Amino acid sequence: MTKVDALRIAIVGHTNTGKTSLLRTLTRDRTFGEVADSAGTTRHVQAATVTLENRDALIWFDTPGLEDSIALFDWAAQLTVPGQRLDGPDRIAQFLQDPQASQRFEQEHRVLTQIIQSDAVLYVVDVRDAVLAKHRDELQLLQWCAKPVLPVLNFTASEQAHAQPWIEGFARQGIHIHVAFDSVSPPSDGEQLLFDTLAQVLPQARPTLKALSQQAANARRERRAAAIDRIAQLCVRVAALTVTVANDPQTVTAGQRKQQARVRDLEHRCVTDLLALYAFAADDYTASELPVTDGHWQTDLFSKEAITEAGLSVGKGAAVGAVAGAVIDVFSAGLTLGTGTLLGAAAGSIWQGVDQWGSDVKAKLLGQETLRVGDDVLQVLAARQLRLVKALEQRGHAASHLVNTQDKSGEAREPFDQKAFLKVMAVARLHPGWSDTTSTVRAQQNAVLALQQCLAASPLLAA
Amino acid sequence: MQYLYDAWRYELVRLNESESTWLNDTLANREAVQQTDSGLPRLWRRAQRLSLGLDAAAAMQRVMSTLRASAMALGLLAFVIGLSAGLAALGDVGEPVNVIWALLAVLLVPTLSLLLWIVSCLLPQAKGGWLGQAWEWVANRWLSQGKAARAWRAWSNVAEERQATQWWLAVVTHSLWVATLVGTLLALLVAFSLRHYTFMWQTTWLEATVFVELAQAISAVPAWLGFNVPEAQTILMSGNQAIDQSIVRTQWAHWLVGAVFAWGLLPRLIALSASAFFLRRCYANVGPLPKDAYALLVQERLDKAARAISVDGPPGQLDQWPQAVFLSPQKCRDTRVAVALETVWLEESQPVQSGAVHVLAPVDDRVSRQEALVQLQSLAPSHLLIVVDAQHTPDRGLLNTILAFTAHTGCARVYLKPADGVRNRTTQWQEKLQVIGLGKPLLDWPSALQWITTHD
Repeated sequence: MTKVDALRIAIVGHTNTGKTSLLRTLTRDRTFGEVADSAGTTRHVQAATVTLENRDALIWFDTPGLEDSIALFDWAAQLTVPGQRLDGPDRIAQFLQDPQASQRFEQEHRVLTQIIQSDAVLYVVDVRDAVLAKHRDELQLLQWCAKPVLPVLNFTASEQAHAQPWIEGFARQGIHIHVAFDSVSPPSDGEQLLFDTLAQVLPQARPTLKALSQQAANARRERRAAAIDRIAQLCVRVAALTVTVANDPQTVTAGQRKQQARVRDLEHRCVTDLLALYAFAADDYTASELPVTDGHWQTDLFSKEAITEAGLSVGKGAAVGAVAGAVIDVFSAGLTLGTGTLLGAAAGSIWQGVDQWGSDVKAKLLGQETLRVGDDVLQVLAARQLRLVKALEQRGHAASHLVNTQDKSGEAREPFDQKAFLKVMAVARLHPGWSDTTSTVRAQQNAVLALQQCLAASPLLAA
Repeated sequence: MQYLYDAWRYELVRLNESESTWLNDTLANREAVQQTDSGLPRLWRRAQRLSLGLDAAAAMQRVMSTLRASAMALGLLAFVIGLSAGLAALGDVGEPVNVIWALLAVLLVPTLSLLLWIVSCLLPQAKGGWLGQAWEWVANRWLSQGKAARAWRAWSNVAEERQATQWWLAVVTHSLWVATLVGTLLALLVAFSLRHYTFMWQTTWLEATVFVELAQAISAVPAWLGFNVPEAQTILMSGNQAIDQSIVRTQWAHWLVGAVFAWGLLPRLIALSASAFFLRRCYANVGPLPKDAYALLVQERLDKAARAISVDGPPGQLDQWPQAVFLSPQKCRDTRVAVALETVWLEESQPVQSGAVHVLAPVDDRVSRQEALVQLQSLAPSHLLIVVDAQHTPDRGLLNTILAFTAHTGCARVYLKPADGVRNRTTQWQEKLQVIGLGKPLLDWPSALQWITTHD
């Protein structure tokens, strides 16, 4: 466990304050350690390294909870050595050397040993708890170790959180720095915040912590970009889905069903990827905060509820029909967009587009119907995936609330630039080949890029 | 082409994993982490290890051999076409060969297509040539279904991603033209070796000097390459009427072969090597680290494998709890005491306080615990009610305090101040209290009040 040049940070706190949860969030590893709502779940010190440019830059140490710090404090406070005045570190050293003490306070012994070997201590508190005098004792014990202590206020996002008494309590102990980091729904820049605050406590490690903070910021940006890319791919694929069926009501309905099933499957895959990207699993307990269950949205994509939920205004009657049935042909797409856009789209990229238009005409002449996914469905698809990304970035927090899509003046905001969005969708509609999950035609890549730009600017993702 | 296979394998594994589910990659990740630095080589290494289980080598081999076979088949076809074009250009034996016509017959199409290709290279979305597309189409017929289909898609994806498709198609296009022109040249050589041809040019209204200059311009490069081409005088004399002299015939045959070589084959070979150069360049560098969702997820799995998770030793033993001991009835006095542990308990304590119950100051730190113990020692109550908050986790500290307190009383019960929602730990308290032999906690205030005031 010894890494000479890596920073060593011990995560300590009273039992059941979410130390291991915090480390899970920090390492983005849901399998790290054991988490349960009871005392003494973690029963040894567990280390997790953070690498920076292929070297171990920092090691987190998850420690067992301090359960009986009062008795331990008692024990240490009563220590006397004839002819000596004992200060904090002396008392801790005495404690660590005493075999009896290490037996009686087995867990605390491990914690204090780790603290002595660390560069700094993150003291995790559950701000839903009331501040008690015993916490003062606990903090006193930590201060005896003579290591910088940074309080971490956990569960600040909870409705029962009372952070202020804690902040005041720390101030009374001469600690005027803290970081609010809810391990269940951390601020999106939580990791950066933690490293930056740690740098204030550990000035000698500032370069490393600054680099780690930068690394965390980059990772966050990359994750967001990858998520948006994934959503853009989804939209392009769904828009390109084309089914040609004979023009009788029954066959059309069957075709629609088949198409809807494919759209749902594609969406499911996207949701699963997004969940994985943000280190979530369907069985994650915080996942219950999300509007998805088992990787499926709770509201069906082809329902009116989905439209309102996504913050879109329900369109005209025709559009609602398109949602219900997901039928649209290139002609009607052309009508809603304006023929100019469609012609531009056709000229801009494609012979195949014109070709596809020809196929549509042929299908019409043969009495067939070409089914494509409607504009509203595509918009709902994009909007709710963006909403999911936002929710995931904050690990579920606020995801259960509807997105506020109204600005201050009460005007409904578009979830993204709908015109730009539909323009790309119109191009995608002309390329049935793009519905293939693996197509990497350059024109498709361009469409995905254009869509990424459109979605990345979405107010849904704004802070 | 250094990284073609690495990138291809990665893409193949990517298709596999993103279309179905994650492969079992524990070993592969560990190996990749141990043997490479982070970045693309690590992703490739992982893919390479995983591809072993996918039988990827065979599929990739199949793609390559199909690509090669379809190129060869098309090449053979091109060669035969070139051969017949060469023979056809020379026309019937006995008739003099019209050199300009013959040259146009063999070179017009290849030259025009070459020019078109050069122009298309300057346009965005260059396609790489029609023949190359034919080759891709043929290969696709063979590969789009069956076991190698995914490997084939991976191959195309990588080609597209590295912007190599254009150069692949160009290489094939030029190779096919080279085969055609080699066929034509061979036809000319064989025909000139085994048949007797005479050569001439014809005109109705152009001046003879036009042809002299044209023929000399065409033969400039072949002459420089060592072909024995006709002199101006000879060219002038070959107009409208063939000269059947051995030396003139040889010179014209050289002129024709030289022209096909220098203006047909040579430019194609140059275009072929240029395309091959650009193609190699497409696969010559490692390339940027992919940043899509799949790559990030793989990166995360690798990071997890790289992250050393170590422990300081075996986990500590689970707490062993002694049974609560009580004072014997003789040692108890007839007092009743209530104490709150780590909780505020003001409103409810009022009725108790006014009665016969002695209420101690709340215990929430070292000093208050010490004081409470001293008081309990002197009071030696027959009944002790310990008030705790059901929101608190029953930890070692709290239980130890409870055990320390009960040792100074005749009997004791715990009253759990009710809590709601996620933080209600009543069950945990019930279990723990059972373990230390304190029995069920009291869950509502009236029964707690009744117990502490009237229980005998």
